[in-house]
Amino acid sequence: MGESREKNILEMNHITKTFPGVRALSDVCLEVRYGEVHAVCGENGAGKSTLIKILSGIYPRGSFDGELIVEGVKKQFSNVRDSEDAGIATIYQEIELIQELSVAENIFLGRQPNKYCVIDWMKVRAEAQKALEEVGIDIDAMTKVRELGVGQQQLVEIAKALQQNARVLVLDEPTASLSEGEVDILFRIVRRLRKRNVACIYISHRLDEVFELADRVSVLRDGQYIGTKDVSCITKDELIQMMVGRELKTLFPKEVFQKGSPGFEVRHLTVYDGADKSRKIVDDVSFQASYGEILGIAGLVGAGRTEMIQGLIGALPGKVTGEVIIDGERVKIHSPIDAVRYGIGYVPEDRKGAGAVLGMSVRENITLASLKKIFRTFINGSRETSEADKYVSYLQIKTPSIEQKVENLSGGNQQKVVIGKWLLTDSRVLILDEPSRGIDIAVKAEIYKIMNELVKKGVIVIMISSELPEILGMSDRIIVMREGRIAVCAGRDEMNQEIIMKYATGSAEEPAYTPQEDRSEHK
Amino acid sequence: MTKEKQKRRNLNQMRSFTMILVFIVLAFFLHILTKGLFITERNMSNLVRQMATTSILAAGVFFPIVTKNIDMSVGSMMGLLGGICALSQLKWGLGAAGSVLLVLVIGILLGTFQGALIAYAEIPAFIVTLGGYLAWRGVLYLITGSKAVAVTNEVFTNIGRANLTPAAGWILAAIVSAVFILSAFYKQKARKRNGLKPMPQWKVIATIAVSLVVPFGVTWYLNLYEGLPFPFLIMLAVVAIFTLVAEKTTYGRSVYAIGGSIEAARYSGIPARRNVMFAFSISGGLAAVASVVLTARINSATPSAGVMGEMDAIAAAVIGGASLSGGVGKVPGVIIGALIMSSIDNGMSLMNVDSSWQYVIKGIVLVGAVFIDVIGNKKSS
Repeated sequence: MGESREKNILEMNHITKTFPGVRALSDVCLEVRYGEVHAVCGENGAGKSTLIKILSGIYPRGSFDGELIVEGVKKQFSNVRDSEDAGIATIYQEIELIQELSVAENIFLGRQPNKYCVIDWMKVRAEAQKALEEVGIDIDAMTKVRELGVGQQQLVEIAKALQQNARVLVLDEPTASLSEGEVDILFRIVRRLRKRNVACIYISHRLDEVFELADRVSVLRDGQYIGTKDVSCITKDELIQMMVGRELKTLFPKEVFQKGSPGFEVRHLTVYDGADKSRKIVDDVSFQASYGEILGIAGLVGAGRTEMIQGLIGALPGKVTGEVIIDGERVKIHSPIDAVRYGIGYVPEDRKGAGAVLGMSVRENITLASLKKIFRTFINGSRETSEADKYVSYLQIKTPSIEQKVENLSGGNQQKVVIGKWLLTDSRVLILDEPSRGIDIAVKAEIYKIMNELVKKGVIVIMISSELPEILGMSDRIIVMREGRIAVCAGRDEMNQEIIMKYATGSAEEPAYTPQEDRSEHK
Repeated sequence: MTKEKQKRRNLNQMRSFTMILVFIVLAFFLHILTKGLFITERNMSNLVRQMATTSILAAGVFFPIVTKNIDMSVGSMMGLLGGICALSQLKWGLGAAGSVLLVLVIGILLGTFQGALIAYAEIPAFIVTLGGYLAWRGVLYLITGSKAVAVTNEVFTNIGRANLTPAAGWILAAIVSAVFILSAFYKQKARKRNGLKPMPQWKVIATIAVSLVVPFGVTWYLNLYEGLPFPFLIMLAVVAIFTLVAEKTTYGRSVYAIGGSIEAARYSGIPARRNVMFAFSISGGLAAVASVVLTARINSATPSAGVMGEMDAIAAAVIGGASLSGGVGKVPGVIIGALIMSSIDNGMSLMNVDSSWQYVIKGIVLVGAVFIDVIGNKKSS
């Protein structure tokens, strides 16, 4: 505890890392002090993950230039273990626990205390329980990890890191899969660690969290170090400007159009769980979406938003009851095949797994949903090429050619390819599930512009999003879902972040997590 | 990005190139080890006859493999269908055409049945087809009493034994060359029409050269012995047809999409279950074609026909570039894969080595080929 708060626990000096053909980091410096929460911000591709992988030993010494100094001592890591031994623990976005083992076994994995050459299970159990208590989670150390929620699993990872005596805790997008309550717990833990002089490197896209939690923030852009600021001396706009290198007035280029007829209507939709047949995941939901508007669907993770959409397009295994009405006509949708036929396009949240076929070319992805409609049996190569070309230029998809595999495109361009697929089918209704997740701010704005274009062209756009600024910035009307039901539905003028959170969490009292933000800046 | 793409393309080309090199090296060694018996007109004629069944089976299992499934049953199924074919002629008095039609229908039905269990009942493909592997072999033993059934119908045995006359062979070679060259020109024109950069001149010339040299060269060499063997021609026809199915039809495209990401395929309105089932129908149907060729060639149906056939077929498909993780591969690749696997069989029996060694060498070649595949994937990602 003796170390001064002004001293650096970690210095990364002049780090340069090149991959074949790309310079991922060039001359990047990062200094982290004892007991501070140090946020690292930047767009996707700015080099944050590369920097973290160097720090955690995934990229070993020799594979990059520059030096690492931990607690005043120059270090060279050959592997992840070296980094852990130096007191650096990294918690990645994806859970890295073994699902079938107990919490205690996971916490001590690879480091089990021995007694006469056998693992001392009593000790493992006791120590693990202590570690859990320290992070303040109330679970039995003998519980199998599989039985825990994603949020709790993340907390177990933190407990594991602390048990290993971490002095620097690296959190990579830790809140991406947490509920609001769990975010709260996480923040409490991080603050407690700060008191114990543990430094925390916090990587997040969510700027609100940065402002709430961090002491200082460092910004990377295109592999370059832009600067480090005290969070108290910088506004959100200034931070965004550092990240994108320019003023960002056009993040939400909302255009309001004349509202048309309610072309898409859902009545009394109930979706049952596939395994537990009596459980309702979505319970008696009714809503309309009209031409000329974007309908936003907000809610917490697990509120049933995605399940509602997937249920109505027939993609879930469980029973679905209710009615779907398109342009006044009742349609029966048993599977996504029917949904596509009736002109409902779905851009799923999991872009890489379910949106695009990564191993296929841009051309093949764009025509994927229209093959039967355009070609019936035989594919006419030149017709296909010209159709794909049309949407590549219309959506300004940045790709060297339409033969490029989609896995080689950036996230934003992948998303455009998925949207292009639905434009080619002449979708009447386009449902976008977290359309801008993991996409660069600059390309985000382009996606929003495309959404405007679509509305203008007469497509009904429905957008599920967990990002409140996006919901408020782009929707004309907003539905808030909670526990499988619609908690409220209102126009954008009647909504703000506080109201949405209140309905989403179902509490009249102060919402658990209020981003400190003025919504007018998103208008 | 462009550079990376270029690299990846080079690497993919390199892979098929590597396999051709593997074959050349293998042929060279076998030629020396057999003291000059391997590369002779007579033996090459035999080799292409033998590889036909493996190629046809491999073109069949190619489809389940591309959908990220597997078909372990085709060897046993080929054996069973051969038995049915022979019995239908011997006992039920069917003619050549009737027996072929019968096994085709049964093959497609058996494949579809397995496919339905996999796609709709959601039993893993490995389990279903492993069950088929056991069961179909057992049925073969039952219906034939574990004895070989001779086939005497000459029209039928010609399917496996006859050759195209040299003159007809030349005509066929000319037709094939013409089709390849015309399609190259058509492609070039289509590229221009769509505003794409046309292929460079040297590539056009190279394509024409290959389109001439390969068909005429193969015909010339096989004409030195007895002409183009029928099984070889059937194999080429099967590969040509199913290359078209894979590359040029909406069904083929959906197969690649399902293997690449079944979720994305489903959300795009592709009937994934049905199309997976059809992939197994294809593999059952081609097991029937292979059984006809095999039974006709050895003019009898034996209880051990097609033992390990599925392994050779899967190996051939994988060596030819199909990936067991789905979504990747080209049908014509099965020819080079089958050529490699059959050369080992053929060369080693010429050397009179114990057949145990064939298994060892085949195992090594298979793992080596997939190793190259893995390295290729790693480097390109």
